[in-house]
Amino acid sequence: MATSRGRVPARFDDEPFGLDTDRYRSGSRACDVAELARRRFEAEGVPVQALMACDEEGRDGTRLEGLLKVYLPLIEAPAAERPFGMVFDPIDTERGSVLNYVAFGVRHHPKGSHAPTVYAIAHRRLHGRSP
Amino acid sequence: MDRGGLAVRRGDPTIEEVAKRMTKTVTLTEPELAGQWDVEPLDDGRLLLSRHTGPSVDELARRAGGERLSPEEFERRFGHLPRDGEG
Repeated sequence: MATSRGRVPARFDDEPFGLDTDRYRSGSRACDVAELARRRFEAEGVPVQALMACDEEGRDGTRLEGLLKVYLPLIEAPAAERPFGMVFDPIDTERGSVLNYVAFGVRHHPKGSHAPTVYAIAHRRLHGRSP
Repeated sequence: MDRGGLAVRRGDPTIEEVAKRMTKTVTLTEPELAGQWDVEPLDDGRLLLSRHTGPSVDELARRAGGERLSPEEFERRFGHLPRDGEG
């Protein structure tokens, strides 16, 4: 797979992407952000400049060693104005390096909310249980 | 002599692998709970019910026909990536 300079091709599996966006109302900002990011990343790849490494042990107890993430929406703005995140697993295929979709969701929930963050969803997909 | 301890041998499943086996997926039909849920036994004996999270990272890599890259190898190819400590 051709890799344009500064971007990494992305691959999305419909099953986890559908499970993650189904947590939100159809037409909500979260769904719009997720679907726009998917279209953009599938067409153009993920800009390396937007990528961050996930933490081996995050403040919330998640352990996402080896995974990468971007804040969304993908705009030039403070982190607080990019409340969503998308987590990827870097994989090696016969066509080269690919970012394999792992999870989408909010980065932080208001206090009192028990809904999982994008990090908690990714942790469950990585370790098979809750953080 | 059996001292009641837990013998761990090379090749035995890890705690993470055991946890994966213990998590079950059930389907509920109650109107407000309809759908698939993961049931996870917690250390204190309670059961945690969470919306089904679907395929694992390993399964997704398999579906993509790829092998997971180490962070070191990814950074060798694309450069150092920052961390933010939040997750």
